[in-house]
Amino acid sequence: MTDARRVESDFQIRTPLASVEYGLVRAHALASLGGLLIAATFGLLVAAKFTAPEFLGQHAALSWGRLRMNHTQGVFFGFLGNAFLAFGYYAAPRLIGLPVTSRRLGWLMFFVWNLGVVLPGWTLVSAGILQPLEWAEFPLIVDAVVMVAIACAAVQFVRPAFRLRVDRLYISSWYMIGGFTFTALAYPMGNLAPLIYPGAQGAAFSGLWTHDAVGLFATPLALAAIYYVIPAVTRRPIFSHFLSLLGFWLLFFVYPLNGMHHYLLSPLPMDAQLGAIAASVYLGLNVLIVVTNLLLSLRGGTQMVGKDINLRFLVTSVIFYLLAGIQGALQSLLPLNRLTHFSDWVVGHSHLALLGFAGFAALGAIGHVWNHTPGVRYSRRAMAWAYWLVLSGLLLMVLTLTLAGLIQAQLWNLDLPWIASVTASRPYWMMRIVSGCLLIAGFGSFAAGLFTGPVHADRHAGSSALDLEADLVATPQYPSLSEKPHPASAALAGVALACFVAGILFFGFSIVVLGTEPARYVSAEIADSTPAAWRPRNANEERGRQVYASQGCAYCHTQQIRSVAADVRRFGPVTENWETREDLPHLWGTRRIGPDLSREAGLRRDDWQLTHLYDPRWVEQGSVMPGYPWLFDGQPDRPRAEALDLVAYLQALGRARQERDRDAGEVARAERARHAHAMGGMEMEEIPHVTDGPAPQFILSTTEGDLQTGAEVFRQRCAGCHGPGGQGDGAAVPGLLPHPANLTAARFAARRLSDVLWNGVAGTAMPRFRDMPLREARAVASFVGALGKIEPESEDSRQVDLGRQLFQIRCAACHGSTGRGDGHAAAGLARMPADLGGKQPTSERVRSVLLHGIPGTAMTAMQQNLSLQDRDALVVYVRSLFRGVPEVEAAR
Amino acid sequence: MMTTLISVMTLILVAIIAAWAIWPKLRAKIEQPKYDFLTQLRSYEDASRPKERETNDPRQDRPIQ
Repeated sequence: MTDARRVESDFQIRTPLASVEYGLVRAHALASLGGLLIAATFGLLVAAKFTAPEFLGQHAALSWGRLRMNHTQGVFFGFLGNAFLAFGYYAAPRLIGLPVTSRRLGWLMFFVWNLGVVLPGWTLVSAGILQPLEWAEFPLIVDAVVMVAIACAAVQFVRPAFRLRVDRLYISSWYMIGGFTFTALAYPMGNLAPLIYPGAQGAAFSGLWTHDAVGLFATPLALAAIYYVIPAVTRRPIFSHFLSLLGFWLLFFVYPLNGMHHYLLSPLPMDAQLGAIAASVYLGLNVLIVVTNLLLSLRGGTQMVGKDINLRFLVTSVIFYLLAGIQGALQSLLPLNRLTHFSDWVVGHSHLALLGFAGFAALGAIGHVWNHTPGVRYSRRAMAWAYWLVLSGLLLMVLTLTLAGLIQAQLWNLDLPWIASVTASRPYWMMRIVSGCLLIAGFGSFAAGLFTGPVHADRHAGSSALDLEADLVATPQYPSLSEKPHPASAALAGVALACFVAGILFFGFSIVVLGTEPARYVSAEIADSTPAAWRPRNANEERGRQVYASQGCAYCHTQQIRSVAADVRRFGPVTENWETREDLPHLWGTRRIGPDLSREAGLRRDDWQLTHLYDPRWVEQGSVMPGYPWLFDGQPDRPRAEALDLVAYLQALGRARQERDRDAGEVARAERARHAHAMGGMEMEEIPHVTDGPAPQFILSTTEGDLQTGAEVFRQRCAGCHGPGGQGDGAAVPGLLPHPANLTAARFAARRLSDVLWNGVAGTAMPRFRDMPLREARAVASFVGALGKIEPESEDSRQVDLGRQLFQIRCAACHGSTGRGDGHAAAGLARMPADLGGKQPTSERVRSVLLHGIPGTAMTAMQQNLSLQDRDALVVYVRSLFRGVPEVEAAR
Repeated sequence: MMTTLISVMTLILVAIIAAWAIWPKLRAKIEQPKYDFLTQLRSYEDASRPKERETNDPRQDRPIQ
């Protein structure tokens, strides 16, 4: 047999040619664009809520968290899944010379994918039935259907491919086989393991899946399309099949090892983290190899990039692949990761990878197969509009998110309030809405283009695959393939098969080294470091955790304090593995729009938390957190059980750690356990927690500039509760008990103002403001100091004497004999009695308190037991206790 | 452990590239599928191209846009 005949026999070029299931191509292509438009609309709503948090804010189904989940899952399943299946049905017969396994199976899979996965997934997530795991939000029942669909896809596409000699498989076939095979392996791991392994252990698996979803599903199938379309349009073979295979195997050997780079500087074993960093750098090199090969494959056909809109989409996708690959490798390096992690930078990177690379590839593939499908053609004008709109939208989005991320990261590293990063991000978030509109317009144009193309005479011809582009532009002709055909090699086939088997084994190995093995170390460390007094959450707290998960709180608030100085300074000591021992699934999160919550226990009172949940802007001006009014019966002081459970859970976050840190013996034991179970003999870097120092003592200022600054800070951070004029009549008042103080009804000593700003007021909703820059804190203290009225003191010594006697009898038990709020009964009170040495209420205020008490505190009304004369005497005496003539800096 | 793993992978990669560089026949065999793919594409286009286009298809006179 001649070489040429042997080649022909190996490759099985058949006549008639293998049939192509164009019906399935069209159906999946249309479903893909439908999914894209819906998912992008979810994304636009998510972006809009950063600027208008109340927008569509009355329904749980339209809450930010659930829209965000449906956005990413819609892109993954609805858009990319359908697009790659459409491409698969078109390309597989051309790649392997055989039809797909079964048309009937194809239609079954189409309905399963769209009516069993995408639509039910969206519906269930909207209803709150979900998994709070990134890229794995669809609930378990949907996961089961996904597995059935992926198994069907493997039967449909992988089975015919293996009827061809593997050493003759073109690179696109390899990527399709790899994509479906490895997704089938990775999907159950990513969706099930975090439900089995709690806390840090589950996070290790989540990291694996988060990366595998991109690397083992979107990337290979996008590259399959790119490697297909470039030679199909340029009519030239790719530059190097060897380089393409090298890229393929590196992808499947290196990508699964990347996962843990989503949790760098976490308490997970540091050696596994370092391995993930090395693998990430390798991946960057691999991207360079693949992109070089693809760009060189355009040689001699570059003029087609300007003429063929699909090729333009795909070449742009290659450029974005390069950018995302290099960016991904760089941001896994600790110095950059330390700075940018949790910020919008990472969100920009995700859009660059998923939309810029995979999305552009999917759109190019859909365009290509659509125009080669009998009876349908697209409008070139609409497609050109689509290209430029989507490109503009994406560039604007990535640019604004990257800039926003850098600014957020910089502000987080400064001692500024968290809200400063939110305020600084607002302009960028507005630009994000604009970019989203451009993207949706582009997607709409693309979808419209599919239906507005020229009607062909052969629309009903059935068998035509006439290339309209070939009619309209000067298309290069196929060159004469002068390469001498080479016979198949059994050895090469053996190597290819061995690589494939090794790839599957290596995937298992990646799960061992980045999943089960770290989990084993973590588990052993937890066993040795959990404090003896540790107790699990109670039923209320556990129910609250479910509310937290179902509302998507973990998408804005992390629960992991990394071994990063800025984290420790702002939030407290680094998270230890034992703290996560009952977190099933983990809620570590990967993004901080709001602050980390793992040390939330006791920071704020329940009524503050409830008011904040009802309408965050009542207590935190400028917050972009959505309100959760459906957890209440119309008022913040009428919470439903879910709201109370959620607050109970928030108050439990970090409680065990606080208790543990008071026990030096337990701290030492945990330290020993960490050393004993540091996988690979390395530990994460240690950063000492900055211990709480005494409150700074401000000298109040009366300069106009300081008072103006103070007024502005007061408006932003205090007016929600205390009202714009400080009269205790802010919007949050209905939900807070005791009500916020009327700051105009007393004057305060500087030390008292300093203490309140630094420590808050125990037993009230007044939180501590340690994140406030000292300059601002002094300014706001000065402003509040200036609010109080100064009344003349009474000089009637008889009244003072009578008041003193009454005070010792009636008040000293709580307020102490000198009125410093340190009476013997004070220790048992939630709200500490007022320190009358640091605060001088007006006469009217004292009289009012004596008559009516202070609701929500132990201070009860005394009107029945006090004569008018006694009351007046007490007023005079109480006011005389003030010892803090404000230390005021002279006006300059 | 991870460092060892990455080092071994690097060695394997170097070995594969060396094998590719040393044996021209191996190179030719590895490159063959890209030509086969193009042949297959051409045969699909040839088989599906309508006959009328080859003879008297008015669209061939349309200007290039």
